[in-house]
Order: sequence, then C-alpha cells, then structure tokens
Amino acid sequence: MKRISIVVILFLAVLASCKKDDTVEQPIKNTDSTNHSGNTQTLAFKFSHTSGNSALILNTTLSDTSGRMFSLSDLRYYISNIVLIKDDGSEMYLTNKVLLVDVQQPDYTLGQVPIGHYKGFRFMVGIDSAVNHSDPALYPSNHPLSYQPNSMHWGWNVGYIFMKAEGLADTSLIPSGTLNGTLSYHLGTDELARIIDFSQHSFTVSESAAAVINLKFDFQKMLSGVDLQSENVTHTLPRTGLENKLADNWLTSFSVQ
Amino acid sequence: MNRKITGILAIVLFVVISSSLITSCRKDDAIDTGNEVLTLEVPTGFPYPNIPDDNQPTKNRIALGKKLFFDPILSRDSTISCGSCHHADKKMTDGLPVSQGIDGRHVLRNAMTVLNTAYQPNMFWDGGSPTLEQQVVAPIESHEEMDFNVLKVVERLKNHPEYPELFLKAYNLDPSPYTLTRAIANFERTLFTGKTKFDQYQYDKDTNALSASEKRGMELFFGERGECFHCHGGFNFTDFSFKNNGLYEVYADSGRARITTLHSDVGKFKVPSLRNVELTAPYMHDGSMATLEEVVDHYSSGGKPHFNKSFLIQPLNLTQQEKTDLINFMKALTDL
Repeated sequence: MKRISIVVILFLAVLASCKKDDTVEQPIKNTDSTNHSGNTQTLAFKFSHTSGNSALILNTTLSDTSGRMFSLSDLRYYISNIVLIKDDGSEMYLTNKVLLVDVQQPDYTLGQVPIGHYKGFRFMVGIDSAVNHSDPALYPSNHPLSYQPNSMHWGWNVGYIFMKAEGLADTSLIPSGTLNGTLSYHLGTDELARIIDFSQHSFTVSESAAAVINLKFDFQKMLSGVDLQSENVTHTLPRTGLENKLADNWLTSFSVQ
Repeated sequence: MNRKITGILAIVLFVVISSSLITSCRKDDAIDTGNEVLTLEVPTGFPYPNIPDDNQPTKNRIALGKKLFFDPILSRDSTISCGSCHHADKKMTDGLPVSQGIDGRHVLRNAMTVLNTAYQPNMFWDGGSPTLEQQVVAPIESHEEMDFNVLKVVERLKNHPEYPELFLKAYNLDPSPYTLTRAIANFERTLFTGKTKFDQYQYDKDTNALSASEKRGMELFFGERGECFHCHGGFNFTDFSFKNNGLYEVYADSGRARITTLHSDVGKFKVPSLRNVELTAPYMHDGSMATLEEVVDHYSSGGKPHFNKSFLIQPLNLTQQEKTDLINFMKALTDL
C-alpha cells in the first residue's frame, strides 16, 4: 500500500511538471493605499480651477493679472506623497496614492482613512525621485503613472511631466487681445517637485459620509511674476529659470476652500 | 508474494503511464519550443550580459521583437521603423550625419548602433534612458522621429491580424506598452558583434590575423602615445562614460548636461564603441566628421579648448605613418 501511495505521488509529480511554465508575471504595483483596522471612511479631494476670479474652462479666454490674454487646451498635473496629520501630530502617509489631476475632472478619491479629527495635511506636486524614473510600462493601464494617451512622460530623459499646461497666449509686445502665440509649459524633473503644506488646515472624517477636502488651484497665481509675452514656453530643460518660477508659484496657487 | 507482484505491477503501470505523459509533454515542446529560455551566443571574450528576469530571451520573443523593429506601424504615418535609422547593412546605423524622422524631420543626433547594446548601462548619446526597455518609447513619441504615442501603437497592434497572437505566444499577454517595449528590447539584446581580425588576434591567439601596420596601430591605440584605450578600451571598445572630446568651443547640443543640467557635463557625450567603425560613418554625436582620417586628425591635433574637455585629449602630433597605422587598426575592428 505504501509503495502504491509513493507511486501515486510520483505520478502526480509528473502531471504537475506538465504545467506550462512560460507565463510572464507582469510586476504590477499596488495602487490602493491604506489598510486600517477600526472604523474608516472615504476621503476625497475636490478640485476647482480658476484664473483669478474666472472659472478655468478649457478653450475660453482668460487673463493674467496685467490683463494679457491666454487660453488653455490642456491642464493636468500629478499630486503624490499625500500625508495626513493626526491631532496627536502623528503622520499618515497615503503611500502609492498618485493623482493625475485633470482640470476637467474635479473629484479624486484618496481611499479609506480612520474616522477622526485631523490637524492638517500636505502633498507633493510632482513625483518623488524614487518613482519619477520608474518604467511607466510596469503600471496597469488605469494607473495614473501608466503611459497616457496625451503623454505625461518624457522618454528622452526618463521622468514624468509633473504639470502640462498647453494653450495659446497673446505674445504681442503690446497686448493686442489676440491669441497669436503658443502657451506650453511642461514642468518636471526631480528638482521641480514641491510640497504644498496645509498642516494648519484641520478637517474631520466622520462616520456618516465621505469626507471631502475642497482645493482650489488658481492658474493666475502660478503666472505671478511671469511675463507671458516672452515666458510662454518651457519644457523644463534647458533650464531658463521660468520652470523654477512656475514651480515656486505652486506654493501659493493652491488653497483650501 | 502478492504484495510483491502488486508492487511490481504498480511500478510498471507508473512507468508506462508517466512515460506516455512525458511523451505528451514532449509532443507540445516538439511543436513549439518557442518559449524555452535561450542562452544567448556571446562573442568570445565577452561577458554574458545582464538580462532582466521578466524579459529572458525566447525564440518567440526575439521573433516578435524583430518583426516590430522593422515594422513602420510604430510611426504616426506608418512610414518609418526602428530599422529606418538602424540598417542591418550599415551595422545598425544609417550613414547620415543626423537621422531622419517622419516628414523628413531631422533628429538631433547621429544614429548610434544597436549592436552590443545589451552591454550599455544606459541609452542614447546623453544616457537619458536607463534601460533598453524604457528606451523603446522615446523614438516612438519623439516629435522628430516617429511622432506617435505608445498607446496608439498598442491600439494598432491589438487590431492587427497577426500581432495579438504573436504577443500571446511570446508573453502570454496582449499587446501593451509593457509587452511592446519588452519584445523590442528582447530582440535588440540578441544583436552582438565581436568577430573581427582583432578578435582573432586577441582571443583566438592567431598572431597572423593582424598585418604589421595594424599591429603598429594597435600599439598606438593601447599605448600611452595614442591613449585611445582609456576611453575606447575593453571588449566593446568603450568604457561607456561621457566625455567632452574637444569638438567645439561652444556646443549647440549640450549633451549629457541636457539630462543632468550640470555645467560640468556640457559637451559630454557617450563614448561610442569602435567596433565596425569603418562602416558607421559619419562620426561624432552630430555626424560632423565624414571620414576616419578627419577623426584621427582631430585627436592628433588635441581638439578645441573647452572647460569640460577630457584631460586625455592632448595634441599627439601623430606622423602620417602613425595615422595610417591607427586607421588600419580601426579597420581591423570590422566584422569578418
């Protein structure tokens, strides 16, 4: 009997060895952020985009603070490294949570977070260097860091475009009101990532309903100190200083509503 | 007695059934050995290259990558393929100063060879891409090259009569940015070059493989008189570093600095391999030198002053005979 069972085991081993072994495991990064014990509730960011007092609507005429006209046909940017600060000062990192914010889409779920009162939060505009040079092909197709139909990634200097703003601008020496030039900002590279700090903006996550933090991005504020007449294009490299000016302005372009 | 017979019977039964199973396994394999992981045939004296675990070479993957490499389906208007700038008959270069993309657009730089690319620690003249896999997307999406989008290429491949099946066979997955970039890199990694008169002399110990002039050129090349080997040393005649070789006083193309933005990298470019250099004119990152004679004259003169110029680029004042010998040696680096 013993021998027979050995034979059966051997037989099964042979069967098992017949299995195909050519399957390629595609490394897929974990997209979901947090797993907590206890009561949790959904937390979301809701973005509104403006240019000064005007709502930022694509392909409509907007103006900078000097009155120079421009319009946008695309505005998207990455937000990552979201950190929630609890009342006791401890920090909760929403690891792996990356948002590709599109001006046309206001709502972004951050996942489940513990119910309670929070002292504040912060996030990064852009992608940190550890992730910035990873291979977009390794992310599943619905992941914000996968290749996009309208590219948010540079192939020649591997890294993500943190913010892409494209459209038209009045680039006449004396403002003429006609959109006769290009507006094209492709902002990226490790050095341009900026932390937006709202550590003093408290919020509560209650059991009853999803918590929403309302964020506003004012494009006009990003153009502060920028002369659209000549500073209408930067693809970050070669560096001209414009790319840094725009990234620095992110610090004041975001506000909590 | 009975137990013994049962035992023997069981063993016989096991042997018969399992061998028939093994045969049925083998039958599959006989029909298709396409997914067996292959050991690449590397030229004598070369190390075995590092290959990512998820992209080990198989017959099916190499065949798929090769088909994609030469298929203009990758470009927006379906006019150019990877092979348009990396010709097999020009040792995977294109013979132009700078390459041409769709609509006759000029690419920034001279096409580098794809041969021995398995050994490159990073891609392009400026090292802007860290892996062969990631490199694939750059020419597809570059405005001056294929001016397309990798997801749109994938859509085309999914709707193609042959590709979906070939991707399944090779990777057990549909066409995607992942499988597309893996397949092309898989093929590129199989492109070796390393059978030259020099290799016969060096690795096969055939002392007659090189002529007297070629040997004199080799002495110059590997000696402190010529100093070429400091950068163009090793089995692939490159140390894969970035160097400023004193081509210009002011560089229109900042080279490595385009990636690092460092002042200390301005005008530095990847040291290219010299294998098949006879057949890969014109030379330099911008194809500004048409002949090997021009190149040797440049190094003999010591080049132009530049704050980043390599200290190895010094006037050599080579004699005419030395120049001829050096060029003869470089021509001994052509594949037989």
